Amino acid sequence: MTTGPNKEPGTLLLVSLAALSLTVARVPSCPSLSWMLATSICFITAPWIVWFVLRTRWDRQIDRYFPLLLAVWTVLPLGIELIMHRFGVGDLAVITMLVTFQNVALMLGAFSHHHRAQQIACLLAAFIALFAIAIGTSTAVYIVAGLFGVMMLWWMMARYWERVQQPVIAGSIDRCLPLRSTILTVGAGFAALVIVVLGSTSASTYVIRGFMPSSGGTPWTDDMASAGVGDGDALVAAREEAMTFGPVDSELFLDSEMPSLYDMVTEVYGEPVKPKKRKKSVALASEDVKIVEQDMAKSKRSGREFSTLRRQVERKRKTLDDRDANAMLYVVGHTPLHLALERFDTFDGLEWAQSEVTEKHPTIQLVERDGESWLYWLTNTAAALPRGLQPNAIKIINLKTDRIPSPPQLTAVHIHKVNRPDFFGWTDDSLLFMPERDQIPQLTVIHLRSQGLNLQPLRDADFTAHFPKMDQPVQAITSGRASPADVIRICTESTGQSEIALKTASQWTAHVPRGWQQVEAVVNRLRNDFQLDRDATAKADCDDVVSHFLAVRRGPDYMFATTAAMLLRSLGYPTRLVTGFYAHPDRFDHRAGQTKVLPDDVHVWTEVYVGDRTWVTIEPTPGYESPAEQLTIAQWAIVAATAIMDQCRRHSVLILLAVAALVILFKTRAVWLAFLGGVFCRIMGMQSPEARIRWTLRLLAWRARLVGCRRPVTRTISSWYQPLMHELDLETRCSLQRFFLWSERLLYSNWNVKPEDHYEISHACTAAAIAANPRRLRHHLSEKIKKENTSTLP
Amino acid sequence: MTTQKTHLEQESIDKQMHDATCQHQSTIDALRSALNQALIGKDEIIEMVLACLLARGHLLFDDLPGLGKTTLAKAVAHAVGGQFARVQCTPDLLPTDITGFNMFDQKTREFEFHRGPVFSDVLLADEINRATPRTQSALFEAMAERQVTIDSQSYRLSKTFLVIATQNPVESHGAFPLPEAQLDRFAMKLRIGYPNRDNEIDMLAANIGAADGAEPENPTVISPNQLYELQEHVSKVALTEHVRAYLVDLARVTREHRAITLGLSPRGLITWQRIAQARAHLCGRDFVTPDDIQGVAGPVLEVRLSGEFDAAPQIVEEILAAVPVPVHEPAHRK
Repeated sequence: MTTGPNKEPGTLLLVSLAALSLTVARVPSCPSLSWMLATSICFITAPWIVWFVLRTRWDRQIDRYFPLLLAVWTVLPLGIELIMHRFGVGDLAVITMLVTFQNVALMLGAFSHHHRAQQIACLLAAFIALFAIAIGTSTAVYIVAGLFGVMMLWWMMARYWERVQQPVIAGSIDRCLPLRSTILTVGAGFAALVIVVLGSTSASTYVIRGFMPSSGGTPWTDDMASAGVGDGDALVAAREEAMTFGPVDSELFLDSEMPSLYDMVTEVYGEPVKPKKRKKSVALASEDVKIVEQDMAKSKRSGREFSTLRRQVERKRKTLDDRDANAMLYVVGHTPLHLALERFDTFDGLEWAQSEVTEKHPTIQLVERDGESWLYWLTNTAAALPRGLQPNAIKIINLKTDRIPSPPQLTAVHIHKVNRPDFFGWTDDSLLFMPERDQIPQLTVIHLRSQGLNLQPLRDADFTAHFPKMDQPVQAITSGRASPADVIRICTESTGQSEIALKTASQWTAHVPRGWQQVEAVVNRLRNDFQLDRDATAKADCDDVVSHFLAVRRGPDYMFATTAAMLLRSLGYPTRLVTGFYAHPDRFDHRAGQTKVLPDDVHVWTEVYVGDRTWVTIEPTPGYESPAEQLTIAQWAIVAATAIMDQCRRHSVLILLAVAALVILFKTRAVWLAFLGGVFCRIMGMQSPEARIRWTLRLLAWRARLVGCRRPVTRTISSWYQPLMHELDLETRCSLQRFFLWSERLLYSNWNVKPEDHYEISHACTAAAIAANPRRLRHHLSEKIKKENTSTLP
Repeated sequence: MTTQKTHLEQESIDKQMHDATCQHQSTIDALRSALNQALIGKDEIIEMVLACLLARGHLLFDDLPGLGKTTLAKAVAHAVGGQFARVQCTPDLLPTDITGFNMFDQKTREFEFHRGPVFSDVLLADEINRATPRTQSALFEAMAERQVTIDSQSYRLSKTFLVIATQNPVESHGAFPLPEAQLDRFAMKLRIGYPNRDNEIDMLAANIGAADGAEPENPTVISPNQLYELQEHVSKVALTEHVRAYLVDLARVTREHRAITLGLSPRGLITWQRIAQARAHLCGRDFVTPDDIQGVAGPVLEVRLSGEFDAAPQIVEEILAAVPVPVHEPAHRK
């Protein structure tokens, strides 16, 4: 670096003004004003102190530490920011970057007597001032930035006159255009052009497109848009359909707001197809007709069926990659999470429905916990399953429902300020809901606690063995609260189920002991051998969807759930179908710490009754994770071990290579650690001849330690390293001897280094570093140690 | 201005020092080669003898008969020049035989002082353990203070007065071991040991044709005044604080060592420092390193440690292994 101009304060003043403008611009947005001002003042003042010291007689010492000071000043804001983030008052990343730039510029400004430092400082100052104007809102920013502009003009004039006054050195003005930077700039520009032109399809260039102005507009879209490139979907729909009068009346516009689960199911899976079947009719007596009609009305009223025969509807809407889909709800906590909204227990071969028979529901109790009122209900304590509570929170955004989306084994609910149990009730299908409300209000945050499950006891014994006997007549349970036996009976009913299902089920579980293991066998079979395909629906005239599914081996997730339920029913396990949402871990937003649940996340799965009013969620669809099982430590260890073994087996070659590399690295550690030490000591020794000797001595100690021949503390340096003299050429030996002398001088005399000694010291230190390579050290010193050991033994 | 002046002064001092050092080095080299000729192949012993000489210490040779003790002692005495005296110690030797005595002169009717052999530059006391303790004690004052007092009259000895004593450790019959007080006055005890094979062959070759009983030529290479100058110079060799502390720590270890009945005295400590300074000077340095201290520890400590003949080196080794070597830089540089 050439030392050109004198130590003038202009550059530092210029940079300080830029820093000041940045500080003023940061005022409105900073998390802690006093802290920000304190750090800014510190950042600006310290370089001035450095600049001042540089004008005193310590300039040499300070100048030597220029890179260190620059590095410290660069890293400092990042370090402070990291610490402040810990306390929750961190600043934006872009601000931190700007402050880093500011510090670099300030420190360079302090060392502006170096030509290059001066230039870079000026450039950075201009950048910072520009950015400050961009982010600043107050007029003060413009005033300071204006001052900066004036100062900049003055500075540039000063530099210009400075250059004119300097004697023109031949050769320094030959190259008007700096060759290297010209080539670099042209190359970078060309590369950017190539990326934009050729790579416009790949995802990485998407970002670049954002920077490039073009006439094609951006992919950003708004349903209500009425200007710009193209109109919004809603507007187009309103214009195209004669029946509508504008965006407000558009059907599309209406359904985009707050859909219910039914809407979403229809959108995702298609509309149910009503098979047209000819039925033979017989005239009935008038009283019978009445009953049938009443039944019909009832089932219509509840409106809660789930058809497994569906047809995908073509949507007119254009789909754009980055359309900001409306979140149904947000989930905080562990994902994947199954959130049940509806359950169905009877299946007629095509349609699922909820029977009128309902379980006996637990009573809801109010419990105060940490000053918050939680609504608990007594879950079955007799079951050996519960193991710890899992907290979750749900924020309802666009979902229109009065039911609380329930994770498996939900045991407690808390909504802020809702402290009355009568705000909650149970639906027929055993879900918690808020009676006398159309819907749970938007943006309500519902805190949930659900119990973890350990399935091991279920695997060990047949849980169906304890089920009550089903000897009661059918008529007794047509309505009202049912006993567990009734629930079991209804949920194992398999009307409309084909023989194939039964055969398949018994075939899949042929050698599996009865109990949970059979359930898992069926689920695993479905997960492994079948493919998820939303479009592979059964034909409208199909009358046995399960058989169809088993034959084609592909289908949407509700077919997986239905088939699993039916197969398990045929084996005597009570099951029911659940619809709701699957909170996908992929949609986790790291910044917000929550998982978005979109309309696409509508999902259908199955629950199995294991006794004691406990239903366990199973996930038969591939691509969806089963609810996490809570494991005991021993089980966890086994699972972890298996997972590790599995990973090892899968990446065996890689692991072998890595192990081999590690072994080689370990075996050769003396060599490369010695080399690294050498490089480090060489760098550290650059400060002064004394430091050079000091660090070479440390290098010797480090290398001797590496090869296990550490100098005993009671041995002198020269006597311990004396064997290194062996097998050296005369010149190196002399240099090594000189090195020992220099080091003794450093350690044991009041010697002051003279300028004429610098070269010799450097030469001696180099010779010592070469002579004391690990191989030689090991060879000569271990011999010495051996000799000494044998001599002291007798 | 002042700094510049001091800088110039320092430079001139350095130059003088450098010239003096060169001159000293040539003198020392001459001494070294003279002694090497007298005793072939015993470089280390000769270095020690030189160190002892430069440190103004007295030498005790302790070894089996016929290994060259007396030869070396004589060579030293001759090399140093000046007045040489020799006392063959026997049980009937009297203190006055060493120091001198007052005799009544019949002519002048006055007492006249007859100077003993101590009034010389180099005194060789051969087989010193054959003299009675009474006679041995006559040397105390002469060795420690370089003066003798006879009939309450003190006489100064030579500035470079050096005692070289020899003794035979094996033959105890009719011998009087030196008391601790006497031993402490010697700077070091040296064992010459057998020469190696090649050196013995050379020695035999050199002896062919030599007349029986003829003394080999021992040239004088240094005058007592020169030696004194050299000794003055050596006493200025520097020790940093860490090195001094190291020396003191070693001395403290000797006082606490279980096998040593009498630890190192402060006089012994000063002697050790002197010898270390001399060794540093011999190595061409103007400062003492822990190497110097360790290097001379054996001969310096062995003369002072009472114990068995063979155990001494082992004990010295243990003492050195008990104190860490200082590897710090002097405080002013940090």
